[in-house]
Amino acid sequence: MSSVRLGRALAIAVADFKSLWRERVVVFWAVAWPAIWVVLVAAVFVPPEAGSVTIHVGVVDLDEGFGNLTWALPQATVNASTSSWGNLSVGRVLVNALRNATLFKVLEYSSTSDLLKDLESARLDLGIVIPENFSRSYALGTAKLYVYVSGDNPVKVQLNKGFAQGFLYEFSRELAVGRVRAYLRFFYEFSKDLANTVVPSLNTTLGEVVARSLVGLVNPVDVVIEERTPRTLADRPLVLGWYTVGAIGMTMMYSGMAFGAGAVVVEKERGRLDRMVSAGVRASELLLGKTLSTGALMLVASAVVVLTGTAMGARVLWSPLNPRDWLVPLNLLLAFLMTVSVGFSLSLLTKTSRAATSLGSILGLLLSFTTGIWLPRSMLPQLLRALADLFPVTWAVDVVRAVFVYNEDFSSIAVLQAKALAAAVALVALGIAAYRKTISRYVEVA
Amino acid sequence: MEVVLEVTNIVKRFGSVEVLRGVSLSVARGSLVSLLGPNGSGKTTLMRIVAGILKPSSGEVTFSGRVLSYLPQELGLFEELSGWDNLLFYARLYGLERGYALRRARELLERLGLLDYAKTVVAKYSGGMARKLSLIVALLPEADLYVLDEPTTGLDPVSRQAAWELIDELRGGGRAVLLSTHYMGEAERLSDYVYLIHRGSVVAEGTVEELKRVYAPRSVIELRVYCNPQAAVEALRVGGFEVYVYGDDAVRVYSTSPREEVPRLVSALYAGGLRIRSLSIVEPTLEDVFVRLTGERLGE
Repeated sequence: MSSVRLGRALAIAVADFKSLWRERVVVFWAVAWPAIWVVLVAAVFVPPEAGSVTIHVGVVDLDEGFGNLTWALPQATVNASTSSWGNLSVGRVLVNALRNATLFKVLEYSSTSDLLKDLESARLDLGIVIPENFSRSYALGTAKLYVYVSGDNPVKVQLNKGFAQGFLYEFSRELAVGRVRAYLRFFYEFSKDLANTVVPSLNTTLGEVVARSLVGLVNPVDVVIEERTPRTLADRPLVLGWYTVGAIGMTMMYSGMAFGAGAVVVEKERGRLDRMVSAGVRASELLLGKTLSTGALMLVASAVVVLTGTAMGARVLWSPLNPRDWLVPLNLLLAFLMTVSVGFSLSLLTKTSRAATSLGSILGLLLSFTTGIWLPRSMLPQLLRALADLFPVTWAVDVVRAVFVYNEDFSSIAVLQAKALAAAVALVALGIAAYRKTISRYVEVA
Repeated sequence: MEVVLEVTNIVKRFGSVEVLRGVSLSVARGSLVSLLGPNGSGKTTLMRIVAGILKPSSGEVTFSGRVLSYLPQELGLFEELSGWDNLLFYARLYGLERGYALRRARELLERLGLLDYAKTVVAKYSGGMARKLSLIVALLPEADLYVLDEPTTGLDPVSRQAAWELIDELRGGGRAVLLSTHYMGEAERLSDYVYLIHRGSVVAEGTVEELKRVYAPRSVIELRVYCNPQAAVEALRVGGFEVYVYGDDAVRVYSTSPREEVPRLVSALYAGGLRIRSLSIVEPTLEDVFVRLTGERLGE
C-alpha cells in the first residue's frame, strides 16, 4: 500500500461522514435501531419486575384439626414456616406456609368446585384441597392432599408441578421431622434412663443415637442446592449491560460489514472514485478515509447505545483513570476493524452497491444473532455455541463485556484479549488485500 | 508549442474486447483538443487512461504537467452534501489554498447561475444543476490539463453557452483542454484540433477547417418531406445520391454541384410520390465529415 497523506484521508472521512449522517436510513439502522433493541430488551424482555416468579395458588382448607389426637402434635421443633400451631390444624399450617413463601400468591376458596372452575379458566396455577381429616390422618399415619396443576402451555404446567412438588415435599419432610421429635419427647419422658445410657462405641447417649437415626429415616439425604445463575441472567442491570454491549456489537456487525462491502463500489457507482483518483488520491487514503468515516458513525452509535442502556438501568462501568478500562475502546475498535475487514472481503463477491450492502448487512445481522454477540450463548444450540467460541469479533465483544459490565480483572481476560488482538491483525491484513483487489477492478493505477 | 500530453499508440482491451486500437494524439499547451465520436467509440476509455484511472494494455501516455483535472461522465458528487461542501471537499483533494478555492468557486458558481443554490443539498438539484456543479468541480483547480468527458451533456442551451465560454477561457495561461463530445457543434465551436474516433481508432484528425476541406462534401442539400424521411432516403439512393437522415425529419444530400443536382433530386422525389416541404443548401459540418468517413452518424 502506498503511503497516506492524512489531509486527503481526513477530507474524505469528513465528507463521507457528513454524507452518511444525512442519510436517514443509515442513521436509523446504524444508530437508532440498536438503541431501540436496548429499549425493547429493557422494557419487554427484561422488565423491572423480571426475575420474580409468582404462582397463583388456590386453597380449599377443609381440615377439622386433630380432635382428641393432640398428643401427636409436633412441638416447636419444626422450622419457622410451620411454626404456627395455634389452631391445631395441619391444614392451617400448610396454608400459612404457602402464604409465607414469596413464590406463592394464595387465594382461599370455600369449595372445591369453585377452585376447579378458576383453575380451568387459567386464573390459578395450582389448586390444593386439604381434606377434612387431614390433621387426624397425619397424626395416625399418612395424610392425603389433593393438588391440581394448571398452566397455559405444557412447559408452564411442568414448572408449576415442579414448584408444587418441591414445596410440598419440603413441607412434608418438616412435618415428619416434627413428628420424630414428638416421639423422641415421649421416649425421653418414659425411658429417661435408657435414653441417657452411653453407647461406648459411639461415645454418645442412646437417646442421641435414636434421635439421629429417626431423623435420618425421614430425611436420609440432606440435599444442598446452590443457585449458580449464568452471569448474563444474574440481575437486571447486568442483563441490560450485557445487551447494551451486544447492541453495539450487533450494529458493528451489520453496519461494519455493509460499509466495508460497499466502500469501493459505492464510490464507483457515484462517479467519485474516478474523480478522486484523477485528483491524485491514493487507494490507501481512500481506505483510511472511508474507514474513519464509518468508525466515526460507529462511535456515535456506541455512545447512543450506551446512553440508552444506562438510562434503561444497565450497569456499565468505565473510568478513564483505570488503565484496564481502556480495553473497552480498544476492543470496540478491534471489533469494528474486524467487521469492516470482513466487509472488504465480501466486496470481492459483489458488483453493485445494493448487493454489497445487502450481503454485508444480512450476514452481519445473522452472525450477530448466532455467535453470542446479541444473543447469550446459553440461548444458542450446541453447534452455535462452538461457533461463538471461535468467532473473533465475539472475543473482542466479550472483553468489552468483561470490563464494561462485569468488572473483571485483566488477568482473567488476558488470553481472550490476546486472541482478539491477533485475530484483528490477521483480519485487517486480509481486508486490505481484498480491498486492493476490489479497487483494482475499477481503478487500475490508484 | 510545448506539448503537455502525448498519447502514443494506446491499445486497451477488456478481456477479449479491444476498446482502443492504437490511438495516438497530442495536446499542446494553450490548446483545446476535442475527441469527437459516437457513444461507444472509446472516448471515455481514452479519457480515463489519460486521467490515470486505467492502465493501457499497451502504448504510452506522457503527461508533462503537474496538475490534471478530470470531469467524468458521472456526476462524482456527494449528493447529501451542499454544492459548497462538495467544492470545498474537492478543493482539499486538489490541495488548493482555501482563499483561492472560495474565490474561484464563487466565480464559477456565479457564471453558471448556481450561486443562489450553493448551500442547497445536491440531492435537491435538477439534473442540469448537478451537471453544472460537476463541471465547476473540474474547473476549480488551476490545472495544466483539463480532461473533460462530455462536459455539456444534459445542460440547457443557455447553460451550455455559459459552459462553452468558461471552457474556452481555460486554454489561456498555457493551460490545455482535452474534451470529448458527440456534439459536433461543441467541437466546432471550441476546438483548435479535432480527433475523430470510431470503434477505438482515430479515423481522422486536424483542425475543423482541415477536416472539412479534406473530407466534407463540397456542399450539402438539406431537405424535409411530408412523410417519413427514410422513404426520401430510399428514393434518393435509387437515384444515385449520397444521402442520410439528419435529426428527426431532415435528409441531407451530399453534392458537388447543387445547381445541377437539385432539379434531378426534385424529380427523383416526385417520381417516388414524395412531396418536398423545404429545401436549402447548407455548409457541411463535422458530422458530415464523420458520416463520409465511417458511414455512421455521431449520434448513432
